[in-house]
Amino acid sequence: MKSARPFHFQDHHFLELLLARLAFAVVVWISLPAEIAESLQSHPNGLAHWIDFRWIADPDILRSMRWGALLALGLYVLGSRPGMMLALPFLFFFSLADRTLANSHGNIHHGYQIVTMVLLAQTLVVLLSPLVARAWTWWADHRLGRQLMFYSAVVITGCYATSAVTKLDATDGKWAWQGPNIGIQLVKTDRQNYYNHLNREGENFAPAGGTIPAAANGLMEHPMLARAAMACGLLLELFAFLALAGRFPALLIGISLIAMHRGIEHWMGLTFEFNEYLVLIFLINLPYWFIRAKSAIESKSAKSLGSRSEQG
Amino acid sequence: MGQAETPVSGSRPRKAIAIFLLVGPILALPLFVTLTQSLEESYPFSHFPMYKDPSPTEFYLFVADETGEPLPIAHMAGVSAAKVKKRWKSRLTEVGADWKDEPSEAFEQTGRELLASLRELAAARKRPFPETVQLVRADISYLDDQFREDLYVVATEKGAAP
Repeated sequence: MKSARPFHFQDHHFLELLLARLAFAVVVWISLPAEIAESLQSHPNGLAHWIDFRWIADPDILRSMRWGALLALGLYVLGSRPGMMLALPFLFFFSLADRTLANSHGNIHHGYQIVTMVLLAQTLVVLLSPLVARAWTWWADHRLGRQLMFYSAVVITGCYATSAVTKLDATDGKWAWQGPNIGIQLVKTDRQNYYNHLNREGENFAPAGGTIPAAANGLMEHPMLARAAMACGLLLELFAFLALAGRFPALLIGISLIAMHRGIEHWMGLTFEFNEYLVLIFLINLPYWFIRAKSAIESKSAKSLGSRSEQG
Repeated sequence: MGQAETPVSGSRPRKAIAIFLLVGPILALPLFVTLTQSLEESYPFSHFPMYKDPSPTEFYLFVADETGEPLPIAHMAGVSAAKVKKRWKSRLTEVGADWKDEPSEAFEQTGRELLASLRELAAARKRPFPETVQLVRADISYLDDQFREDLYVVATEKGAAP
């Protein structure tokens, strides 16, 4: 497990792959609905232009789908190649149907795409794996594990890259320069959060004409600082793909992305929990660093034992 | 885990391996970005347009009763204020209007339709709306070193009394 190799050529420890699958399975399960309150498809999005997805809101069908998902997630975590070939397409389809319907009400939410797209990438990798494998294996071998990790990371970093490209395209490259205007957005988000519940216990948002969030004033009063901060965020999104260069870049960029999301949540009240989970699993990848630290400690102990016995 | 391997014969798979290993990783990211930029919003693909063009003016919407007292819309209808805004913008786009236009009949009509749909959702959650509800819009701007919020009623909707 050499950390200097590019991501695509990294070998992954069996335990690292198992924990990544387990953690991703938990994230997928959290992302799936327990109930669907709105079964409208009034503003079709994506495949909803051609397919009616309202059936998934039926409580009996949804319950069956959830049982199916539990079984599929179990198969996925176990990691047999045929099991994953069955499980991943089902999980992708469930996520796709649920969120396509949710995004067909006239308001598009951007919190779940990353999960469904990672499922799609993993589905394609697993289904195509017999074509590119040197040999058929019943269990996910190193090659398949490597490809699952790599293409998941491609999707995750690609989401950030495309977000940055969209911003640059919409503003003719001047997005960071317009950074102070994010102050206006902070006021909007604060008010919207207030009007959701008129402040539940512990919430401190303000209604129209109320207190202006300190960060909004700060951005307006210090425009150059605001531009510098926005430029940092934009560059991080644009160059997040450098995480694909190896373990250390993935760790550094992963930590930076999570710090960015924490900041956005703190100042804007906007959460992207699934982005954070996936960055943690596929870029930061804590099990790898634990395994590496353990090996380093063991090898140091072995060396010191060896040198003591030589001295003896 | 068992690694019982059954060799796959022939040169095609080996060629595919080479292409997959060498070209796949290099092309995967640009392909992904090109795909998402072309498809824009087509689930699961998205070009993630959130805050793509921070403009010096912005607005938000809230639902109020006839006296102007705001209603906790996420609690009552299960739809957040942010979603209320997105839904109104979608309806406006459908009738060929834009939120930056001067207030028009299109604003009022789409606003009334939106309030009626929210009323239905609130009733289904057994948290009914009062008889008369208003859709209020607040325009935010920053002038003379101060934030301004200008409020006006977009639409009023009358339903059955709870």
